[in-house]
Amino acid sequence: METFTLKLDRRLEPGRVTCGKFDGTHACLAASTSVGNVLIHSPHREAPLEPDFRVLDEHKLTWQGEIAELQIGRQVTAIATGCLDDDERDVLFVGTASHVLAYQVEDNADLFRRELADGAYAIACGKLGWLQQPVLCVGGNCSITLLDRLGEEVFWTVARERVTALAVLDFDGDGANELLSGTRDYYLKAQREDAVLWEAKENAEVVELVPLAERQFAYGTASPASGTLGVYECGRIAWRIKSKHRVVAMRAFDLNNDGKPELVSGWSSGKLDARNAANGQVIFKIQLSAPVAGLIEADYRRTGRCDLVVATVNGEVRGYPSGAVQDTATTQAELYRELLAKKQSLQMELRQRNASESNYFIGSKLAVSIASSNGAVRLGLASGPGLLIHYVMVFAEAVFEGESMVAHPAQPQGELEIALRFPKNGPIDVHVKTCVGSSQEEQTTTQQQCEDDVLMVLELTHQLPAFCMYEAIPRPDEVPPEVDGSELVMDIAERAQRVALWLNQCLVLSAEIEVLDKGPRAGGLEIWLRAMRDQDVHCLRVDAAGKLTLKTRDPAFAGDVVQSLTTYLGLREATAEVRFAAEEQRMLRALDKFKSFKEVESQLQAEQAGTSDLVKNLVVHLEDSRIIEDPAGMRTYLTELKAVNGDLVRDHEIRSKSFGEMLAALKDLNAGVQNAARLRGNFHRSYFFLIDLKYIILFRYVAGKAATNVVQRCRSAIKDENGKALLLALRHG
Amino acid sequence: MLQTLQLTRVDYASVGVTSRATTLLLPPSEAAVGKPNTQSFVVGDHDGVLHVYGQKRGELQVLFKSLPGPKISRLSLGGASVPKDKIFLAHGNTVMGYTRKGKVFLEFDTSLMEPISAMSILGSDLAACARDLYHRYRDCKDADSYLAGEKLLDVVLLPAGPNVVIAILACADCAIRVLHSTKSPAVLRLPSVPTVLTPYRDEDKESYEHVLMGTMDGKVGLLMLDKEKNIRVSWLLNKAASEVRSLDSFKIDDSVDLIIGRQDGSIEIFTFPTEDDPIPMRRFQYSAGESISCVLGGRISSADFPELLVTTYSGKIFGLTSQPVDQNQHGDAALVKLQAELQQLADELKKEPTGSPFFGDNLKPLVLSLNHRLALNQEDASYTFFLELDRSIDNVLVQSDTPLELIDSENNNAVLSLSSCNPSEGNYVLATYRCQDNTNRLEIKFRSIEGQPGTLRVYVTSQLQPKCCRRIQVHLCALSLHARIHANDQEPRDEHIGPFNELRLTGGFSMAEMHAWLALSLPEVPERPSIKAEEAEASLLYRSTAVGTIVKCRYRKGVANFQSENITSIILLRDILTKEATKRKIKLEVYFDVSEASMSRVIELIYPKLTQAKTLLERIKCLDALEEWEMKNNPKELCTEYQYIINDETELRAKYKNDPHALKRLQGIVVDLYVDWERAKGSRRISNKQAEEKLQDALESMELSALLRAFVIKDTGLISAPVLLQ
Repeated sequence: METFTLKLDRRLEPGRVTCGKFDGTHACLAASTSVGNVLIHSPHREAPLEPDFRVLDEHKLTWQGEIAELQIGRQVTAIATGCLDDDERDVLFVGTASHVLAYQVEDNADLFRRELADGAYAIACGKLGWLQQPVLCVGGNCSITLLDRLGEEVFWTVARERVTALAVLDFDGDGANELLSGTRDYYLKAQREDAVLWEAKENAEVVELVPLAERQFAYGTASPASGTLGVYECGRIAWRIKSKHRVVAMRAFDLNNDGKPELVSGWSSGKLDARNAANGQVIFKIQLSAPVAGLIEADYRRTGRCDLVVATVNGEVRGYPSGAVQDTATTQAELYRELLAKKQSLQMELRQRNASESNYFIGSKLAVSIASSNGAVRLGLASGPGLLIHYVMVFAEAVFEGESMVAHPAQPQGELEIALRFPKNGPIDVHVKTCVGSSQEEQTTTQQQCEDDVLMVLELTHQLPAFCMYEAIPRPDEVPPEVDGSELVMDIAERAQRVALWLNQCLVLSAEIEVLDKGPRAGGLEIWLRAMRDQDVHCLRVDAAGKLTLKTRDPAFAGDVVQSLTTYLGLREATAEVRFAAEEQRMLRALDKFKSFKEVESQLQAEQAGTSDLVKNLVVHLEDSRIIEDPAGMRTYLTELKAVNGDLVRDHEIRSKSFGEMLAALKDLNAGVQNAARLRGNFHRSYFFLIDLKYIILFRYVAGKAATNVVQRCRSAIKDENGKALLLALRHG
Repeated sequence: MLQTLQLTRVDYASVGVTSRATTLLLPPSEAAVGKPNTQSFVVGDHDGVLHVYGQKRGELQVLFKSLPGPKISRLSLGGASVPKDKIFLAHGNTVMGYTRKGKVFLEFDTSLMEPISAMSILGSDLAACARDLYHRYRDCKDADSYLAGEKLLDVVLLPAGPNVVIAILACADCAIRVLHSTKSPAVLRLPSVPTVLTPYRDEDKESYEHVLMGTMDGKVGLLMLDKEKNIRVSWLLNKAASEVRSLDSFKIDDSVDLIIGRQDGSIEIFTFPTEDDPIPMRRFQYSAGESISCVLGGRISSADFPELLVTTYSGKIFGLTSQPVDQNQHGDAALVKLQAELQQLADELKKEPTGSPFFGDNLKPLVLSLNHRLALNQEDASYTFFLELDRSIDNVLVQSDTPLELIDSENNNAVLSLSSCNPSEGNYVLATYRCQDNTNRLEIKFRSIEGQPGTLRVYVTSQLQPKCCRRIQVHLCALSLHARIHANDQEPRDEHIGPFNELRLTGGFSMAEMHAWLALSLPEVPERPSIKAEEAEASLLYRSTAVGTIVKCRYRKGVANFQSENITSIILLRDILTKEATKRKIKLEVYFDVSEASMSRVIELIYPKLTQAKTLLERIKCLDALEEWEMKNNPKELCTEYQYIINDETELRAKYKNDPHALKRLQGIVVDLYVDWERAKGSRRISNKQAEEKLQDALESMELSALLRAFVIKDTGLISAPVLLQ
C-alpha cells in the first residue's frame, strides 16, 4: 500500500531525520549518518545549470545525483529545519555537542554557526508567544537557549537536566505558543518565559514531543528496556501505552483521510503504527525490515499533497499517501464476533466470581501497613486466617531497575515485609499485587510433583507520600554539625496547624503531628527528620508568627520542601532567606574547574592542529619515497608516522576526557542555578536574586520584573568564566 | 493449477475451554441423504458440557446441551450404522455414548487407573489410551491391552478383516507402534514425536489404509498400511512449524485438500502431493490468534458451500466458509438476540453474588484454564516455555531457584522487567512479563545451566476480576540440556563416539528406584523403564545438545552402568544418584573408570563450537566497525571476507542475538570439564577460578593443541588449595 520505496544506501541515525523545502518548493529529506555527516536527499532538485567549479571546502555540500552530503565532523545530536524570517526557503539546523549550525542549503553557505557550551541536544523552530520573531529553540545540558535569525541569543533559561525534546505549541489555548520541553530526568515542562505553566513526570527519558490539535500533544519516552507513547490533553494524560521497544519517531498525519490527524509512531523494532489520537486505538500497523530512523511529512511525489514518509536506519525510504488506510467499516460479521467475545468474557467473569465466592477464598483479607524505618519504606503485608502469601509484586514507574520489584519467599508465608527505596522525593504511585493461597494446599505439595494450583491475586494501589524516604526522629541531644549554619528561613504567614496538616500528609508517621496549644512552644512546631538515603539530619521549625525555618544542608531537599509546601498552602509570594555554605563553594569550585578545562581545551586544540600538519607532511614524504623507490626512507617515515599517530590517539583521549569533565562542571553550575531557582519555591513564578556575603551565598526571594535579568547575568558571567562578574551579578542582580 | 482459496470467517458460538479432538461433525440428517444438507456439530468442553449445534429454521441453534460434569478429554464418532452417527465422549476413565438427539445410551467405566487421553472407536471395538497404557474393549469387555512404557498421544483403530482390528499408536519416543492383536508391536521410528493421528477420508468414506499424522515440531505426513499390514510413511511435509493440533482431509472445491490446525493458531490448507507434483501447495492460511483444538471440513451454515469448522482452545467456534462475503452475514435478529443476552449477563454481574447458582458444590470450580508446554530447542540448547490462558493475561511472574538466562523472544510483546533478587532466599530469577491488552499467549525463552538443577515457577495472572493466578512448577533436571535419542538408527555408530568414561553403581536398589532417580536428573525419561525384549536391563540414550557428547544408561536391579565421553555428565550423575541413594539409606558401591582419551574427544567436539562462537563474535565486531565507518554501502571496495560478512549480515546478527553469550558459556563448559577432569582423575578438587586461570591462555589462543596440552600437562605449580566440599 506504500506508494513508493527507494533506497538511500546509507545508515541513518535513529531519530535524526527531518525534511524541508530548502529551495522553497521541493521537499527534501535531511538525515544524519553515523559518521557525523548530514545527508540531504532531494528527488526533484533541478541540476545546477553550470557545474560548480569553486573549490569545495569541508563545510560545503557536494551533490551526487539526488544526494548531497554535508560534513559536520562530529556526532550530530539534533537536526531540524525551519524558517526564521519571511524567506520561503527552509534553513537546515544541525546541533552537535558543542555548537549549532544553521545552513542555507541552496546557497550552500552557513547562515550562522554558534558555539554553545551546553551543546544542542534538541532543536525546535517556531514562533513563541512572548517574542516577536520566530526563534530557534536549542536545548542543551541543563539549559534552553533561544536564538534569532542572526544566531544572537534572545533568551536563556535553566532546565533541570539535559533537554532531550522540545516543542513549540499553544499549550493553554490562549492563541500564543508556549515552549514545551522534556528533560533527561523524566520531566515534561511547559513554560512561558520563565513561568512554568505545567509540569509532569514521566517514567523515562522523553525523546519525542509532537504537538497535536486542540491543546493535545503526544510524547514518547525511551529507557533501555522499554518505551512509552502517550498523549496529554490540556495537561492531563489521555492515554499511554508501554512496549518493550522504544519510540524513535512520531508524527501527526491523517492516514485514513478522515480529517483528523492520527498519531503515527515508528519504533526501534521496525514497527510503524498509526493510532487514533483521542484514544490510542491502532488503526494501522506495519512491520518494516529495519528499525525506524524517522518519520517526515513531505510532498515527495510532487502531487501537491504531503505523503507520510518513513525512513529506516538502513536507508530505506517509503511513502504512504494520506488516505492510504481506509476505515474498514465494521461488518456485521465482525460486530457479531466482537459481541460473542464479550459474551464469553462476561460469562467467564460471572463464573469466576461465583467460583471464587462460593469456595475457599471467602472472607480473605490482607492487612497492610506502611512505615518509614531502618533505611527504607517498609510495606508490611499479612494474610488473613488460613491463607499464605506466595509472592508480592510491586509495580512503580522509574523507581526500580525495571518497572517492578518482586518478593518471593522460599516458602509461602503469612507475613511479608518489603523494603522500598525510592531514589527521589515526590508522591509515588505503587501498584501492589499480592498472591495468596490457602495454607492447607501447601502441605500436600511435594517437591517432585509438577502440579499447578489456582491462587488468588489481591491488588492494591497506593500513593506514597512525597517525603516517605524521611523518617521522623526525636530531637537530637546536640545539633549535628552538618545542619548548623545551613538553613532556609521563610515567612509563610500561616498557622503552624496547617503546616502540621501538610506534614501529616507528606510523611509516613506512626502518630500524627499535632501543634501544642499550651506551654512555651504553643502555636509552634518542630520536627526532626532523618533522610534514609544518606542519613542526613534535617530540622523543620515553624513558630507562632508563621516563620518557617528549615535546617538542612541539602539544597535539593530544601527545594522539594519549599515546592511542596507552597503548593499545599497556595502561596504566591513569600520571601525566603537561604544560606548554604557548601553549595556556594561547590558552585565556585565548578566555575574554577570549568575555567581550567576550557584553557586545557584550547591548548590541546592548538597542539592537535600542529600534529595534523606534521601528519600531512609525513604522508607527503612517504609518498615521495615510494615514488623514488626508497624503501629505507619509507620505513623511516612510517615509523615516524606511527609515533605521531600514537601521540594523536593519546591527545584525543586526554581531550575527550577533559571535555567530558568540562561538561560535567558546566552541568554542575547550571544545576546550581536551577537549585537556587527551585528554592524560591513558588511553583508559578520563580524569580530570584543571588547575593553573596563573605563566602556565604544568601538567596533572597523577590517577586519582580527585574529579577529575570539575573539569570541572564549569571549566565554571561559563567560564559566569560569570570568569577568576579558572577559574584557581582549575584550580588546586584 | 489450483488456485488459492478465499474463505471468510463466520462466528458461531463460544463454549468452555476445549481439549484437542473434542469437536465432531455429525453426518447430515437421514431425510436428506443423497443430496447435500447442512451438518450439525458436537463440542465437548472442560466443564463437561456436551453441546450439539445445528441449523434450525434457517439459523444455528443449540439442539442439545448436557449437564456439566468432569472435563471432556476426547470425543469420537462410532456406531454400527454407516456413516457413523453415535457420539462417544471420554471423561476421566469413563466413556459415555450419546445419540445425536442427546440420549445417553452407554455409560462405561473402563476401570483404567489414569484418565483417558486418547480414544478411537471402530464398530464394537473401543480403544482407550491412558498415559502409557493402551487398552481395547470389544462390546465393553476387555479384549487386549499393551503397556508401551512411553506416553501415548493418539490412537487409531483400523479394520484388518472380519472381527480383526489393528491399533496404530502415536508414542512420545518418536515412534508409531502398530498393534496387531496381542502380538508385539511393529515400530516405525520418526524424526520427531507424533501427536495427531487421523484416518484419511475422502468425502464421508474413511480410508482403511491411510492415516494422516502430525508431529510436535509441526511436520505432517501420511502413513500407509500395506496388505501385509506393515506401516510406512508415504510422504512427509518436512517443514518445521508450530505443533500440529488437528488434521483433516476435505474437499472444498475440486480436489481433496489437507487441513492443518496448529498450536500457534494458524490454519492451513495444502494440496495433497501427487506423483506429478510432489511438493504440496499451500492454498490458504489463517491465524486464529490462539491455539486450535480442532479443525474439520464440512457444511454447516449452508448446504451449498463447504467450509472449515474451527474450535479454539478458549472455546470459540467459528467457520471459514467458501461462501462469498456478502451472503453470509448474520441476520440482524441474531445480533439483537446476542445483545440482549449480553445485557442479561451484565445485569447478572451487577447483582450481589449469591453463592454458586449453576455449579454444584461437588464440582471443583474450573477457573483459569492454562495450557503450557516446555520444550528443549536442540539446535541452540535453549528452552521455550509456551503458555496460553483461556482469557487475557495481565502479567506473568517467572521465578527460579537456580540461575537461568532469559532470552528476549521476538514472539512476544510483553514488557519484561527483571527484579533484583536475593539468591539466599532461593530466588535466582524474578522476572515479570506485563502483557499488552488482549494477549492470551506468551512464549518465554531461556537457557539453563547444566549441573544446577532446580524448580521453575511460573505464575500467570489473568485480567478478569477478581484476579486469580495459576502456578506452574517445572522441575529442571541437572542434565537439562540433554535430549533423548530414541531410534536405533539415530544412534551414532561406534566409530563416531567414545571412548567412554564409565560409572558403575551396585547396591540394593530396584530397577524402579533407579528409574525414578534418573527421572530427577535427566529430561524425557519414559513412564516406565524401557526394556528391550531380548535383554533384562533397561537402557536410555542421551545426547548433550550443548556439546554433542553421548550419555548411555543401562540399569537393572542392583546394577547400573553409565557411559559418557563427557566426564562432567558422569560426575553430575554420580553426585545426584549417590545423593538420592543416601536419602533412601541405600548403600551404593561406586566404580569409576576414567578414559584418558575421552577428554581429547570432548575437546575436539567443543573446539569447532568454540571457534564458531569466536568467529561470530569477531564478525559482529567487524560489522559494527564497518557500519561505524559507513563502509558497508560499497562492499565491492572491500576484501572478499568483508563482502561475505556483509552479505550474511542479517543471518549473523540473528545468530548473535539468539545467543550473545555463546562463547562465554562454551568456555565455562571447558572450565567445568577441567575441574571435573582433575576431580575424577587426580582426585584433586580445584575451584573454577583456579581452573579458569590455568586455562585462560589456552582458551584465548583458540588453538586445539594448546587446549589439549593444558589438560594433559601436570601443573605442579598449582597447589590444590582446600576448597569447600559441597
